[in-house]
Amino acid sequence: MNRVSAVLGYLLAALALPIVLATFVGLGQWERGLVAVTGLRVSPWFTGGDVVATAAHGRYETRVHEPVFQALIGERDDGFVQVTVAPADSLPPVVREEVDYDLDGKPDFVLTLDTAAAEAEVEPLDERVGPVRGVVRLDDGIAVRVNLAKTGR
Amino acid sequence: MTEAPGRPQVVRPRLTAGKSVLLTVPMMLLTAMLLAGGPALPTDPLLLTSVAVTWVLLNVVFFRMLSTGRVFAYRSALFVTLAVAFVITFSTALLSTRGSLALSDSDIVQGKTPFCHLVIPFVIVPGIFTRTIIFPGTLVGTFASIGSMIVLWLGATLALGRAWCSWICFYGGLDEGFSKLGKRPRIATVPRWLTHLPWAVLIAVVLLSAVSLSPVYCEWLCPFKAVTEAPAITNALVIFQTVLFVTLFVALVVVLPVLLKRRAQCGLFCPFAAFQSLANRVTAFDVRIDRERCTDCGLCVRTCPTFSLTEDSVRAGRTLITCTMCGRCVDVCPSGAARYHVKGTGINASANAARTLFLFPAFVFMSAIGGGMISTAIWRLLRLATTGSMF
Amino acid sequence: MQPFLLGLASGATCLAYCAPVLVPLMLGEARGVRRSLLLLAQFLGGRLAGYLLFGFAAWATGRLAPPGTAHRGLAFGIAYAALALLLLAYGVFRSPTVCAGEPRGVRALLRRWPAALPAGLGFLTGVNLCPPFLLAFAGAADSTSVWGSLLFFALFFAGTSVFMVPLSLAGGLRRFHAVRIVGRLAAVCVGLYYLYVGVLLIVREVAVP
Repeated sequence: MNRVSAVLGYLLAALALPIVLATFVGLGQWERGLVAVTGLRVSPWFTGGDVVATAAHGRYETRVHEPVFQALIGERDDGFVQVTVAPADSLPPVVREEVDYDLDGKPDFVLTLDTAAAEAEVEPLDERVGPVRGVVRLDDGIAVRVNLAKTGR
Repeated sequence: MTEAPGRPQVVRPRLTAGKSVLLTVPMMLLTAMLLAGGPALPTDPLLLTSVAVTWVLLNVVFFRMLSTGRVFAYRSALFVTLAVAFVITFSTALLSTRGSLALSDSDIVQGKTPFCHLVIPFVIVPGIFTRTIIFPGTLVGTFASIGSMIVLWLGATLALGRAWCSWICFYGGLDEGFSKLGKRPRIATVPRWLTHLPWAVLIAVVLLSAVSLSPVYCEWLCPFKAVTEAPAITNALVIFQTVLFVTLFVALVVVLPVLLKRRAQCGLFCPFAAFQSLANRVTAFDVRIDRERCTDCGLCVRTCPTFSLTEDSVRAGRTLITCTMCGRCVDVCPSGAARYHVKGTGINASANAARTLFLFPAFVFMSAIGGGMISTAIWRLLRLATTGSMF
Repeated sequence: MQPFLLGLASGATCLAYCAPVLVPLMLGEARGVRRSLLLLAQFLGGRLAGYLLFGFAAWATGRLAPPGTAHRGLAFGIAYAALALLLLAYGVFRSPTVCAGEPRGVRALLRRWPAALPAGLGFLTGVNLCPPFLLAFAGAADSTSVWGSLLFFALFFAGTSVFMVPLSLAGGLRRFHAVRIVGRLAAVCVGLYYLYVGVLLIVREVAVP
C-alpha cells in the first residue's frame, strides 16, 4: 500500500507540470469552452441586459434592453430598464422617445435625453416606472437606465 | 553549508552544479517559449533587451534555487520583482488605453474591468444560482477576461494548491516586499484568533455578495485598488470607499508587514487566501516536518510569512492548511527537518526529488504569469530612460 | 395549506436573506447538533415574533402595504442598524474572557439571557422585510380576522423555516475550535456591513425630503 500510494503520489506530482503547460498553451480554447459549457454571462446588473427591441430613426437607433430584476433566487421588487441610443456621432441634440419596455404595445414612459450634456428626464406613463437611475456615455452611444418596480407603486 | 560565522549550520537538500544545469536547460527552453510568445522574437531593440534580461533573470533564479537549495530567498526576490512589475505594467497599460487609472461607469457597463482572481470565491454562488458572473468584465478574448482568469486559477489550483499565493499572486509580492524591510519585527507575536480572520471575511463576503449580487470585496475591502484601478470619485460614497481601501492598503500591505516582518494582508485578511487554502487538499505537494530531525527550536513557527505553522502542527509534522509552500521554513530550518514533500510518499523519501517536482510547475507558472510583466516593466523603464516617456 | 406552500416556495430566498446572520451565528455556536437545533429554534422564535407582529399590523391597518410605507427607508435603516449592533455585540463580547471574575456589561447580559441573542437576531432579521415576507404580507392583509392574519403568517413562516433546519448541522463542527472563532469574526464583518446599510438608509430618509 505504501508503495502504491508513493507511486500515485509521484504520478500526480509529475502531472502538475503538464497541467500547467496545458493551461497556458490552450488558454484561448479553454476559456471559450468554459463559457460555452457553463452558459455563463455577465450579470445584467452590469451589462444592462439583452436588447429586446430596436427602433430605427434614420441615422440613429434606440435599443430597449430587457428589464433587470435579477436576484439570487427569483426576482427583486426593484430593478431598472436600460435604453441605449447609438451611434454616438449621429445623435441629434435631443432624443425624445416613447418607450414600451414590457412590449405590450403601450408606451410606459417618455424619455427625453440631452445627448450633448448626457442628461435625461423621464415622464412615467405607468406606475411601475421610476426616475432616471443614471446616464452613461458608451464608446458608441449613450445608455440611460430608468428605475422600475415590479408591481405598481 | 555554513550560512555565516556564529550562525547554526543549515542543512538543506540541494543538487550538484551539473545536475542543476541539466535541469535548468528545459526551464530555459520553456521560459524562452513563454517569453517569446510566438515563433519570432521582437524586433524593437528595447523590447528585445527587456525580454533577454528577463529570460536570464528567470533562469539564473531557477538555477540558484536548485544548486543552493535556497528556495525562499530566490523565490521571494523574484516574487517581489513580479509584483512591482505588475503595478508598472498594469497602470501604464491603463494609462495608455484609457488615459486614466480611474474606473468609470462607462467602463463598468461596457465590461472593461479586468477580472481579478481575488473575486473568484464570491462569484461562485451567484454563478451557480443565476448562471451569471457578478463582475463587470468581459467573458472571453480580452486581457484578464473572466474566462481566462478562471481557467488559469483552475490550472494552478489543480497543480499547485495554495502555492498560488507565493508563486503567482501579483499582489502577494507587495505584501512580501514590505515584510522584508527592517531588520527585526517590532511586533513579535500575533493573537492566534486573528489568523482566522481571512475565513471570517470569506464567509461574510460570500454571503453578502450572493444576497446583493455585487462583488462586495471589490467594492469595499480590496486594498489593492490603491495600486491598480479604482472607481472614479463622483460622490461621497466613493470617497468613503476610497479612504477605506487606501487605509487598508497602508495598514495591511505596508505598515503591518514592516512591523511583523510577515505577510499581514495574505495571512491575516485576504479571503481568497482562505478559499485557496482548500485547494491544498487537491494538490500533490505539501511541506512536512521530519520529526526525527526536528529540534523544536520554533524558528519556522516564528518566521512563517503566512502564520501556517504552530507548535502543535510542528509536533504533528505538518503545516496548517494555509501553507503557501513559499519555502521559508525549508530555508531557515537548521536541521533540514522542514522539506517539500510529495503526498503519499514517506517523510524519508528524497527531498531533492520532491522539491524538484514541485519547483518545475511552480516556476513555470510564475514565469508564464510574471515573465511578460517583468519584461514589459523593464521595457517601460528603458523607454523612460531613453526617451523620457514610458509610452 | 396555501400560506405554508407559499412559504415553501419562498424558503430558499428567505434562507439566502437570513444566511448572512444565521451562518455566522451557527458557526460561532457550533457545540453539537442538538445545541445548534436549540439555537435555530430560538432564532426562528424571534423571527416568528417579528412575523406575527406584522401579521397583526396587516390586519390592524387593513392596508395592502406594510405599515409605515411612507418612512419605509427609515424603518429598514433602524432595523438594519439594530441588527448590526447586535451582531457586533455578539462577535465582540461573546468570546470568553481572559481575566477571572464575573462578566460585566454586555457579556453579563449575554451570559444571563443566552436565548435573547439568537431570538433578537431572528426578530430583527424577520422584520427587515425580505421579498417573500412582502408577498406574505399582501396575502395576510386579505384576511378579515386577526387570527386569520396571524395564522397565515405562522403557516408561511413554517414553510420558510424548513430550509433553515439543515444549518443546524454546523453544530457537528464542534471539534474544530477555530470554527467558533471564525463564526464570531464573520458576525463582526456582517455587522459592519449592515451598519453601513442601516446608516445609509437612515441618512437618505433624513437628508432627502
